[in-house]
Amino acid sequence: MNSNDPWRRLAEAARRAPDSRDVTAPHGFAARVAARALAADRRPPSFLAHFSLRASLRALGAAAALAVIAAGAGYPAALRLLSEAPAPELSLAGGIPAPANSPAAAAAPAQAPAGAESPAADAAPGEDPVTDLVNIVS
Amino acid sequence: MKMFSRLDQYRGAVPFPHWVSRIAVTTCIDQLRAQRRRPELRHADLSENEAEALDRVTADEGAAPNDAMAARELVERLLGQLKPADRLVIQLLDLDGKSIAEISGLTGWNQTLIKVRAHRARRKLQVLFSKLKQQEGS
Repeated sequence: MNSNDPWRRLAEAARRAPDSRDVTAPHGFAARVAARALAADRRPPSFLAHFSLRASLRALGAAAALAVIAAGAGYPAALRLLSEAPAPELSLAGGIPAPANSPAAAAAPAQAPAGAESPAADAAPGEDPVTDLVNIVS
Repeated sequence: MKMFSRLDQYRGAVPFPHWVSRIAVTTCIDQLRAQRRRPELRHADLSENEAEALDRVTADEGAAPNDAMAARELVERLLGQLKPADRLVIQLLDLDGKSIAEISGLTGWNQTLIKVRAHRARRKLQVLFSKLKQQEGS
């Protein structure tokens, strides 16, 4: 394109003109885009997605049914064990929890050290939990 | 709308702006092709300002038109006589100031094809200038 080309001069002059083209979206464009987006959401799922959803729901239902059956079968036995089991007690000297009516629990106060070296020995066994803990650790 | 409806076809092979620009280019060319073929441009169809702009650019001394708006209107009339693809190339190249490589990136056409189209468009524009000049004299 040489410098004497009329087209070149005309294009140079046209480039100086302000661009008056309308670049705004036409009226209703946003509504049309939104309508298309909503229509796309209503499309039926694919076969694979539909199959996976149904299989997941069935597996969830089966798991819930098994949980209910297991709870129903084990509830009486669990209730009986809870009602018969004695409350655990902290042994005073041996550090091993023992039932209240066991011989070890009966002999525990006699085994407690009564020396003057330990300040914890000043306290009566069973009165102060901190003291009991110190005795157990020592 | 086209871009929105084809979003699921975007595979990431090209950058997203390029993908959008190619859809825009294709849409514009389709729109231009769908338009009814415009009648041949005659000198009598030009407004007074457009005729003056034409006189200045086709004069032997080669002065640029004073009225940029008239020059742009004349450019639009001349571009309307070109094929859609040729018009797009000459618009991007000579009016928007884009390089061959940029146009290739925007349109997806190879650079040789763009040069061929630009050459063909400029030759057609020269013919149009000659015809309008002859009609002015007659």
